[in-house]
Amino acid sequence: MSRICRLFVTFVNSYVNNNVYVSKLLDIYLKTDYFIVKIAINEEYQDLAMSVLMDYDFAGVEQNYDELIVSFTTESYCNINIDELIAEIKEILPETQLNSVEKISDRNWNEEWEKHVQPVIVSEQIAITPTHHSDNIDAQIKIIIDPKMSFGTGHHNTTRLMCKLMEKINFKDKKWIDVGTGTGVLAILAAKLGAEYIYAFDNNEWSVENAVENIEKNAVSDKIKIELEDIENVEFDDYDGVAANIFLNLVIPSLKKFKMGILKRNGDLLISGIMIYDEQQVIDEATKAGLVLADKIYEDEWVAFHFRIKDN
Amino acid sequence: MAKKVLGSFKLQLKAGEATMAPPVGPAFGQRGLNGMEFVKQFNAKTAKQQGTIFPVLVTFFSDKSFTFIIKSPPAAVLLKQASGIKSGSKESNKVKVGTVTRKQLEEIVEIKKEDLNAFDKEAAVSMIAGTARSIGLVVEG
Repeated sequence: MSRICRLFVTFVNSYVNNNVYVSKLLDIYLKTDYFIVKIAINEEYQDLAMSVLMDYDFAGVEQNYDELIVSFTTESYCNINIDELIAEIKEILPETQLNSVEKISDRNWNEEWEKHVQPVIVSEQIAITPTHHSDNIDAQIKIIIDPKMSFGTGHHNTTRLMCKLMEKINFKDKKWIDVGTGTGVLAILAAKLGAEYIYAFDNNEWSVENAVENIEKNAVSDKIKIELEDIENVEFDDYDGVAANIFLNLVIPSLKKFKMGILKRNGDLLISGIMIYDEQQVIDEATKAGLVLADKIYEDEWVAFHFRIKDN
Repeated sequence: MAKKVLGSFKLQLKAGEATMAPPVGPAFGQRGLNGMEFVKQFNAKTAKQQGTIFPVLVTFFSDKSFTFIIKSPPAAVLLKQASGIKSGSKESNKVKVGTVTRKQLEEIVEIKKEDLNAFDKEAAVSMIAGTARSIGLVVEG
């Protein structure tokens, strides 16, 4: 199986090389399918097998009592030899057997949960609701979100914290950037709080597609530009504010970039997705980057920050 | 309203790198749970240990909520990391002899402490040494 897969990729690569369109297609093919490899190993020995698997680029492993179910992206699967992998596990666990290899297509795995999404009252003025509950919700700022495997429904503390920080800030006629927009919820809130323009991006295809749909449902498409983009390709320049509900490992290396984004206009930087255990690290790094803490708020184990440019 | 435990499942995931790709998406999705919430929490909780594998035990309830416990990485994984040998590289496929020291075993015991029941340091060290030998490592000292 993996040989066929490798042959296919080699063929397409040599055939297309400079053909952007076909290589894009290949990219989509590689990104959206997974190979599920089921290996018969008794539960008590599965941790031993993990010492072999750890050097392979897998997406994740599910443990059953008599089976390890290992998921690979198509791209990773093409770069490995399953027979070698099994042989290597057999060196430690001779009884190991390959049960099956199955290819599955990506889909909205979160669909079942999304069907039953309930509205969230974030604050006195802000509520986030799916379309099917929208008529029952009366709020000054009502945001309609029908998520499709994207983050930002208001059910998680990090989104609510961000909304609460945002409603304290003056958005009137301002220009903002939303980092890792997910469902688009924060960009939509910025527009409803009066922002003139919001550039929102995400590196996940599902999110970009979903954000576009939600923006239309909230009738704010004219104020928000959505793009599929990685943070390193985005220019942070001349904004009144940056909203980033992401995570620690992305926040720390991006602080200087965020600062550049708000420097000219002496703007606001809002950060969420951080656990209280990492609070001090974020504050220290932000201080080093020339930012000053204006506000921080908490919910359970989560903290969100409002930074500004340090006065010189 | 009391909620009932419906079941649990076990995953092993790379720290800070969980996505909705299988197994997370299907495992949560087929039980009607919000996988996105898990991804956010797991990545935030393991952000500082990126590069290590963590077992996760997810328990889910009748109201579609869930809780999860992140356990310490498998001893075999920690041992392999300590020994510095690597699988999957073609050149080293045949000759793969790694060693771990007594000190490294003790360090691993320290990491695994919370997950070992009836903790006795000497017993734990010899248990980890046993694991080391079963994955082909030589224990020094």
